[in-house]
Amino acid sequence: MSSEVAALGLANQWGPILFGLVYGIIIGYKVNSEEIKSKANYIIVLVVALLIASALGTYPDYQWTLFGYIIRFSEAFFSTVIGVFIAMIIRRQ
Amino acid sequence: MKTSDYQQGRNIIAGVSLVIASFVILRTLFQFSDYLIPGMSYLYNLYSGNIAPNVITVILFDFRGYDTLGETFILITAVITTTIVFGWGSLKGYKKKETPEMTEKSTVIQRLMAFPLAIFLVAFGVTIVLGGHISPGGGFPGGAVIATGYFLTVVIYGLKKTPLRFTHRYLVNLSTIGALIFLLTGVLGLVATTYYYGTGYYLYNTGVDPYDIIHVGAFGWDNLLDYPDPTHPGILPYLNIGVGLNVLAGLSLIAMFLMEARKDE
Amino acid sequence: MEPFQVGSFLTAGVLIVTGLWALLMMDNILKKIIGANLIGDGVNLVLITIGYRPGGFIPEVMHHFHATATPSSYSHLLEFGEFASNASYSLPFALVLTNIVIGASTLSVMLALAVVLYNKYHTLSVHKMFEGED
Repeated sequence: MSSEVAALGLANQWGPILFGLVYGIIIGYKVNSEEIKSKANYIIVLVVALLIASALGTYPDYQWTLFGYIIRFSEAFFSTVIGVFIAMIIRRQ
Repeated sequence: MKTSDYQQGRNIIAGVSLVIASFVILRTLFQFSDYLIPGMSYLYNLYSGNIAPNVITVILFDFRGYDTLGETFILITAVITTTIVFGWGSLKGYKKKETPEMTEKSTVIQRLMAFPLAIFLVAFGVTIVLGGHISPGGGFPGGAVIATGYFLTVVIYGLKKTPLRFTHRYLVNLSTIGALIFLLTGVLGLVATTYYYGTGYYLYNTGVDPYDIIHVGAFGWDNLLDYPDPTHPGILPYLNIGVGLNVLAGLSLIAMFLMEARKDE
Repeated sequence: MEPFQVGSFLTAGVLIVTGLWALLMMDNILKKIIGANLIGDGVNLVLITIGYRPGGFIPEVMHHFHATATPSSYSHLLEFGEFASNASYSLPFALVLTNIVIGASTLSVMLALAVVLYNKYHTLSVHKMFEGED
């Protein structure tokens, strides 16, 4: 993380997280959430999204440190799924 | 005079000229070995590592940004032409008829799996769009993947009962907003170079500043256009985001129009 | 002299000739549209084949190439010089990337016109469409 990026107060990962959320909300805004009837499907989709995101994150510069381990994780994928869910929750109310 | 009388002679003439044309084409392509020169590719490969790791994205959005700008408007023009040909309100005529045979054709597994799969396709497309400067991909393939996710739900659930229920106006707005992001990012480069240098350069990469014109980092707000990323691609990810919106909306709109036309007879 | 991919160029030529044949000689409008698309595919294949370089890697700067480079200093061009002399030619790939989207646009317009023609004449055959206009 260079000084110019630090001046903005943004870490490396925030670009994909932010714009993934924006894309997810834009697309999920038109989702009719009656399609997923049981709540268990949300959890299954979330877990599978977590697995796919950890499988996709291979670029070495995007990495998180968790309990001393370096994990690679595709932030854009997961934050898009989160954004779709946020938009569905907003629409339902 | 019947059509079939002179059709035969015309077919023969067309076939003979086609054989000659194909011989010329094949011979030309076989003689391409004399013209295989790298051209500008060496220079592009040499300099684009300073801007972003993916050389093709740098060529597409930085060195040849005008081409890509024109291309987004070609896509919008195609969408407008398709809209004019089919008519704006073809969805209204579709709504009157109840045609549920599309949903009856799909099985339970398809109906159960298509919507989560569409969400995953959308997320994967967004991953491709946002990683366009560091990994193979970009706005065009990512937008095509997102449109594929939308079209999957349309095929499985039908146009009326699809959970991803885009409307015409929403997609047209997304497409034009994507092209406007491209245009206005270029205008920002024009304004910044005019302010610091006197001469304005449209689509100047203000986040990278390859000619050291606006002195990135001298002021706080100069590197607002630098994408929060360790590779400093400048404005390229924003252009990718705009092009991704444009392509996903355009291809979804085209697919939607062609899908509606099937019912419109 | 650069190595020459004979098979790839000949495949592109066959694609273009097949597309021309379908465009000129076929009666069905959908086959004509498929032929027009085949011509575009052949042209894309020619462009991709021009960008080939034996033993070259994909035109994407690897991590060890740009690890020390910063955007404000340009004293590291020697490192990129090694990359540039080994990577495959990148300009044709960018051209193909634009060409694919333009091909999709023209395909959509052609299909829309085909739908309109079918709605008007209730046939896809060009021969029957213009039968009574002699």
